[in-house]
Amino acid sequence: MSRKLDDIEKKNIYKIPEGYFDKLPGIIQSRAVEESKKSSLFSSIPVFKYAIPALLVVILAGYYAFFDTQEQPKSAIELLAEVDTDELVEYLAYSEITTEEILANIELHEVDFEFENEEVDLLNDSDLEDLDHVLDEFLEINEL
Amino acid sequence: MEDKELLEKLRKEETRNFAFNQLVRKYQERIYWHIRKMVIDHDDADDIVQDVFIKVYRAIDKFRADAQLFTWIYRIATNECLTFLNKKRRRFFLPIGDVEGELKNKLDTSSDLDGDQIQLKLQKALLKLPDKQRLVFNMKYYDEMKYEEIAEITDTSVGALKASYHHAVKKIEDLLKMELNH
Repeated sequence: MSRKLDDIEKKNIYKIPEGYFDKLPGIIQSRAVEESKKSSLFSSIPVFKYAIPALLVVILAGYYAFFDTQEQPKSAIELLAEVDTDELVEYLAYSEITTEEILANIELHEVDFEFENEEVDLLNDSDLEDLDHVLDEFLEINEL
Repeated sequence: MEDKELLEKLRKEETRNFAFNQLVRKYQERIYWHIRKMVIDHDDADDIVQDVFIKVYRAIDKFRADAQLFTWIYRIATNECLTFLNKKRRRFFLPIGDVEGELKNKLDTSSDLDGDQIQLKLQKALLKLPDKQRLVFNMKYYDEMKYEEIAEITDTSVGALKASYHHAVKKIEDLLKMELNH
């Protein structure tokens, strides 16, 4: 038996169902017509052509706006700032924490003081010095 | 109907469906057999040939008249075959050998074959070639296409195709020799 390709008969060994090529054009035609009907339906109605892409953009934007924001956890100071002042005072009044302990844990230079009456002049150093003299005189009077 | 006339009618709304029907009738057999030799199974070939002509229908407006219509359709069919075989491999994570094994099994078990032993052995030997080399072989050996036509379809140089075909022939003959000596 020959091993050369040229000596082997060129033969198509594959079979097909009877009438296959008679039916195939019709099957393909039906599919093509069906597809063209579907695509013309979508493109003929403007709402499909423009509104759907716009709607998709809105939905995606909404998703990222509402569900994809990664909020940073609030710090202790931020949490404390949300507590009502009266509640805080009441809590401190009934707690066993002393004033000295509270003051020991506050860094005064980091705290922003807000005064209701901004027109009040705070005592300066020379005023404090004068006050010392007044107190000294008062005490001397009392000792007498 | 000549391809030029077919194309003119395909591009007009009122004659498109008629022209498309004529196009399918003109090329269905050549395209089908080109596909069938690659995928072996009739049902797979049937699916693919339909997909090919649907793609032709969708893309006919984009077809550039500087290329041959048949070459263009053949190229779509070639790509669809390669895509089909690649998908088969990826879907089941099959190494190349197993897809070959599956196709070989179809040759052994199919009732849609009408061949003597040497023809079966030839088909099994062909399955051992890489897909693209097998495609080139089929187009040259069975379809008797010119290298220039195959070059246009596969976008490969004539020189590379000649080399590929001659290697394929040598490999098949060696395989047949081994098979017949058993």
